[in-house]
Amino acid sequence: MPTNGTSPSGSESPEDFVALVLANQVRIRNFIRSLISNREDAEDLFQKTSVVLWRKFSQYEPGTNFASWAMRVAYFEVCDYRKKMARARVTFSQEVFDALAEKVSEISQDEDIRRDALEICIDGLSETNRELVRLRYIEDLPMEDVAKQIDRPSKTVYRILKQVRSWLLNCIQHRLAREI
Amino acid sequence: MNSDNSPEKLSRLIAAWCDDSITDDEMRQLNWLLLGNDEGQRMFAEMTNLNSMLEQLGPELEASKIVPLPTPQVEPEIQPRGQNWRVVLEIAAVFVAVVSLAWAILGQIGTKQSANGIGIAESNASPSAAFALLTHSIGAQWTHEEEELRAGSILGKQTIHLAAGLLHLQFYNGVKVVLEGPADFEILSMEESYCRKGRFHASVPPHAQGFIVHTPTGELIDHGTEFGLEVRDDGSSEIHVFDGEVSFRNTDAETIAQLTPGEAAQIDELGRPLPLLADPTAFASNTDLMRWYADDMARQLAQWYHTNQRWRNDSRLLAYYDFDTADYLTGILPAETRNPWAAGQDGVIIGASYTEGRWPGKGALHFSRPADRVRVRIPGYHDALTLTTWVKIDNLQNRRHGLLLSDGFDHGAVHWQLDGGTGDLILETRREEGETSSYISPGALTSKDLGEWIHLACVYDRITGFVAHYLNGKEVGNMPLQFDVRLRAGIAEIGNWGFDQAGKQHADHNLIGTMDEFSVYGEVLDSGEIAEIYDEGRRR
Repeated sequence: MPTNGTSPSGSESPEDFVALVLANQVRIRNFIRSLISNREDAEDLFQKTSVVLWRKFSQYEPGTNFASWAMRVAYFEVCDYRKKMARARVTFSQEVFDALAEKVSEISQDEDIRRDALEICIDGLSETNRELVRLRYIEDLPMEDVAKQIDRPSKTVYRILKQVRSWLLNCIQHRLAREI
Repeated sequence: MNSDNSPEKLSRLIAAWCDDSITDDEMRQLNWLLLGNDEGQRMFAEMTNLNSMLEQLGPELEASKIVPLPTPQVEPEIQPRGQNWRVVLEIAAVFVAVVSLAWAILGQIGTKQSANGIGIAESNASPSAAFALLTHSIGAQWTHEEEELRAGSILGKQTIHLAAGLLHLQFYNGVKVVLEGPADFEILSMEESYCRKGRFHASVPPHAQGFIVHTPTGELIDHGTEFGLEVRDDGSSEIHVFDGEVSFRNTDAETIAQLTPGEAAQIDELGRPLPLLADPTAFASNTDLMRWYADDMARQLAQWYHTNQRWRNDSRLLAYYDFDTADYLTGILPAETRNPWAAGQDGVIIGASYTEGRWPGKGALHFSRPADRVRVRIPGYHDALTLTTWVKIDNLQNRRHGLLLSDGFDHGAVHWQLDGGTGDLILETRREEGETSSYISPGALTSKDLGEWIHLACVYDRITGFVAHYLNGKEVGNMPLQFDVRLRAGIAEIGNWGFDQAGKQHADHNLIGTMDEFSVYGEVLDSGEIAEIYDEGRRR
């Protein structure tokens, strides 16, 4: 256990940390999840990143953008994961990955507006499609089980989900364009 | 299911990524498609961000809001998220932070401000002042794909970057220009243009004399004539005069060359003229162009017939009209297909007159008067329907223009039309209780779509629960079903809306324009297929 807990800014009180992480966890989580295709892996990495954030918390300058700092830390964690993954699976090239990480963090700047928009947009879906979103995303059921529950072939479920997401994104973009 | 159409492919791959079902091979393709593709990267980030937000939706999307499906629900065993998190915080609280300055070199990730926010595409509004019409285009290839111009395009102050091929431009003052690519040609006004590079042949009628063409080394002033101009990459040029008189003045206004018929001049990169003899064969003239145009159109038409066969024979087809064999004497619009499902659906032409379609030699019907219509019968009830047509809209008056409308407006009726006042593409349907649902793509059509052949498509899909509108192979609207009903087009009209039950005719629903192809499929055509139909059928 490290013992030199002082930092130049002296900002490492656990209460501060908890408050900052709680306020920004959605953005940090989204940042990681947007770059990792497997949900469980993304969640594990978020947990891991949280630990690293705490370890490095003394480096955080109070008053600066915590989310940006945290995403920078997360970026290296995701890079690390990506390198390990690359042995088993094809992953993005570093160049594409870096470009995507930058885009993802840009997008996270209006996370709150996007989230509000999403909540409104979701009401526009048909009941069946909302149920599908719930089973897949909230209940986190595997695609085969979702398919069974709504009594459609998996292939169709993939197709519907793709359609649902592009419609939702469209709807969010329209709402966002009106906000800005 | 296809295709080389990369936006469709990209969105398919991103979807596979989101569903974590992407294969290694697909991953390689995705990486390749995203490399250096700013727009694609943004699309990826927006989609994966949405994917992540959906997972974090909590009670907002609880079952209470949703009418559950009748199937028995398996109780899912999920670990409540956040539990781990609390553990981490507890562990974290006992950590003492490690001092390090590593973050200082972590770069700029996450701090860069997005320059332009969300990229809602600006509508390509037609130019404020119009100077010329692009009448024909032969084998044109464009330096920037997004700047592609179609025959019929109205040109204002703008630059044409032509990589190859020929364009025929008609200025509103009567000047006719044949432009040969590769060319870089800027229209400044009706009387003035700038040729940075390229070859062109101009015919200037007497009343339009004074037509000026700027070149990198000077300006050419026409005095009512026919001439050819070639500007090379290094800025040097050649002027050939076939009729009338042309003067050239270099940038310093020092040297002035007066050229009369049969004379030509080579202008070096410093603007110094050297006399030559005019070579009439060096430039494509209007006459050449017209001949090539006719050949090109015939070739395109033959090509289209060939590629179109597979759509005519598609087993999903319910009805297909190519408008080629419309028999004006008997008033029959035959359903031209070898697909037995779609046979025997001949339409009856009322009023509409026979005319030329996308290419010379291709038949079409022109609808203009309120009586003009084609009566058809599309059998059956359908979970999905794809409607596609090629039309050229003459003008958008402030009212509805019918594409395909079931007679009356009963349960399952299909009303596909566009709104002249707003440019909206509209699909309406209805269910028993008299409820109407409207699926609208607001402002899909703009004035620049007038007078040009455009491809429209509409897909209704009960399975995915969406309706999509397409213009020229691109999706312009996609919306969830408002209520679920099987469609039944039944007795319907192309280009108009027939009679209601009382036998009363609906006024102001007639199409004003020309149509040369109409298909009805009883299933979903995906966005890649619609893009293919457009691409194969568009006039180049």
